[in-house]
Amino acid sequence: MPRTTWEADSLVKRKSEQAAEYKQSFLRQAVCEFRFPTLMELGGKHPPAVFVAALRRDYPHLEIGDEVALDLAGESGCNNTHIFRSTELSWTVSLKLNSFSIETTKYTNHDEMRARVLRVVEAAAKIIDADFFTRVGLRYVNVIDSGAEDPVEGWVNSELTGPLLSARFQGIQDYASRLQLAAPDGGCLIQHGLRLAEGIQVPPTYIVDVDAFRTGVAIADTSDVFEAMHQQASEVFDWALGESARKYLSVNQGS
Amino acid sequence: MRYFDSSLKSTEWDGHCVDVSAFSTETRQMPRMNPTQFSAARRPDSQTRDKFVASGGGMGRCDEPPPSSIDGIAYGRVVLLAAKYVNAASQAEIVARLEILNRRLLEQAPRITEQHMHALEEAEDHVRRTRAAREERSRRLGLSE
Repeated sequence: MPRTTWEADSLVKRKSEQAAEYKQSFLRQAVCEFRFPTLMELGGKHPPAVFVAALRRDYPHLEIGDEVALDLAGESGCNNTHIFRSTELSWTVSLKLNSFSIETTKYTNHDEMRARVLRVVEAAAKIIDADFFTRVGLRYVNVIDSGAEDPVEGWVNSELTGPLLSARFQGIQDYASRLQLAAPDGGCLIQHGLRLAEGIQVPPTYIVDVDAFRTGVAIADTSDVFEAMHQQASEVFDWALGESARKYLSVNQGS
Repeated sequence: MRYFDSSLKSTEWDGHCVDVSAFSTETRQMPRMNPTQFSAARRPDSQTRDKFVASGGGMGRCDEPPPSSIDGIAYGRVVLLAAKYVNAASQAEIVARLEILNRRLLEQAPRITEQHMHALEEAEDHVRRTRAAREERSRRLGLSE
């Protein structure tokens, strides 16, 4: 019987219907990572042929990133990362000896992300010699760019920017905070803060970085866990927005 | 002036970037962010790019035992234990694989085999037969109580 809910799903109470309706996005980077019981041979010089064949169509570029050699028994002690990139280099799949991840810097929509993730999971299921993941994580890094406006003024939830709005402080050089939520089967890490631009004439941008994760996930539950984490991350993101940002995201690009 | 004018001095923000390799519970730091470097952040320092020529063979060394054999499982277990020792911190992924290998090792090379059980049963039969013969001999010679 597949599992469809996790205790960690309830860590964020607010339910928002609006997140899915936005026509634009502040998403600068999205990563979905799967960890599995370590398989030393995956850190060798070559990725498994069956995995290469499964990804060849969508990710025709292959790179090998040499990491630390454990110097245990020649090749089997290596800790290489196999990096597969899409034709336009905007999507990346990385395979290590205890994890693989799917990452993009050009997020289009949830459906594409989900389809790509599930395809990679299907390919990886044949090589990881386990029927579960020790940890699954989904991370969305949003950069709220308010143009000529100050993002603190209406673009970000005032509950996040209280000290900045208090008018008590001047010469702010750095502002960042993190909120870690935890449950027995997962959690959610919310990190947010200002990114100051070079020169005072340029308004800063505001980072909202949400990382949802679940532990001990059966491969058969991948689709459900991905949905649960996406929903949680979307709700946190939507909560972090101010009205100006919502208005901006609701308008079609170019209109 | 609400914000510090970073152009007034050499800024720490230069070179900050989101490091996706920090995507883990073990390294939960607020990522240093510079969107212009997002895509470059993932690239390892030393890497070789290649179009698909690699086919993925040669994962193991030729002197390694086959991974499904008892020796292979034991070998894999030793390599993992060594990696765990080197890493010091006990990673959940290494512990999980060790547990899988331990179970497989017990399945393929159980501590008590079927042969052990047969030998024990034969020994018990032998004792029973010897006792019956002794009792019968005692009765025949009038030595029984």
